[in-house]
Amino acid sequence: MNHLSTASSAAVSSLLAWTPFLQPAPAVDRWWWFLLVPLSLGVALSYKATRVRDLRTLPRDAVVLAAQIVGGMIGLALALFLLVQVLLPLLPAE
Amino acid sequence: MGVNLVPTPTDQSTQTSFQPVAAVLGWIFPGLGHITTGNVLRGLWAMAGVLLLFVSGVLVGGIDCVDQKEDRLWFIGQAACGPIAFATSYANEALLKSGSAAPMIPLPPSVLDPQPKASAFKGLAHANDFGTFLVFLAGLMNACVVLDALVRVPRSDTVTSGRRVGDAGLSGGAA
Repeated sequence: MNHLSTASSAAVSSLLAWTPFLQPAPAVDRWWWFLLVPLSLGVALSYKATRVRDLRTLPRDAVVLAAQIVGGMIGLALALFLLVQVLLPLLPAE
Repeated sequence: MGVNLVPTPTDQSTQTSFQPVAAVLGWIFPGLGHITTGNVLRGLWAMAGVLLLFVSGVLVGGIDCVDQKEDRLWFIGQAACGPIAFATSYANEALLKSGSAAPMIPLPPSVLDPQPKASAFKGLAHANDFGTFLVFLAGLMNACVVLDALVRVPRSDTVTSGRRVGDAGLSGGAA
């Protein structure tokens, strides 16, 4: 509990000391995979803006495409995990 | 396969358009090419998408993630965002590399530079990687938006308008 509060206070103090746009965001090494969300949303928004015929469906289409990108990435990660951790160790060592 | 590939006489995909000024304006600022040709809403959405990537990248990696001297290959893609990429690179030079925003830290000497120094705000590891990549993606997506502005029919942002057969998805054809 004490360790947790120390870690959280360190995270808060590093966030308060952060100068946005000048300094890199703090603690990105720990939460870098969250960046997949703005990445997929930005790609989906700009792609759908050039592709959709009816602009009323653009927000929904962009969210669906972003979810598909995130889902695809998660699926690829799971497939690679299974390949490396489960299937490859089953091969004969020679 | 359910997609109408044969244009009909009323299909807008049969119309041709070439808008070089819109393409240049789209490079100057993302989405501006569409806006100036009357496709305002489409331009605003494209602008939102490209700027989301760009701002996310600079927020995560800091202005150090746009560097036309040290990361020249990445900057080729980032430059497709237009003057905002060049302005960010200039800000990197003026604020970080000059040492005016943060103190300079001496680095181990190398063959190329006997007394190298780097800003204390220089991005490293994941922050720099993702920042650089997000801004690079913003450039690539803006290149797509610029190409679209180049050939899109002006004032075609009606409810059922488009420029390609099947743009609406798998249902395809004229709506």
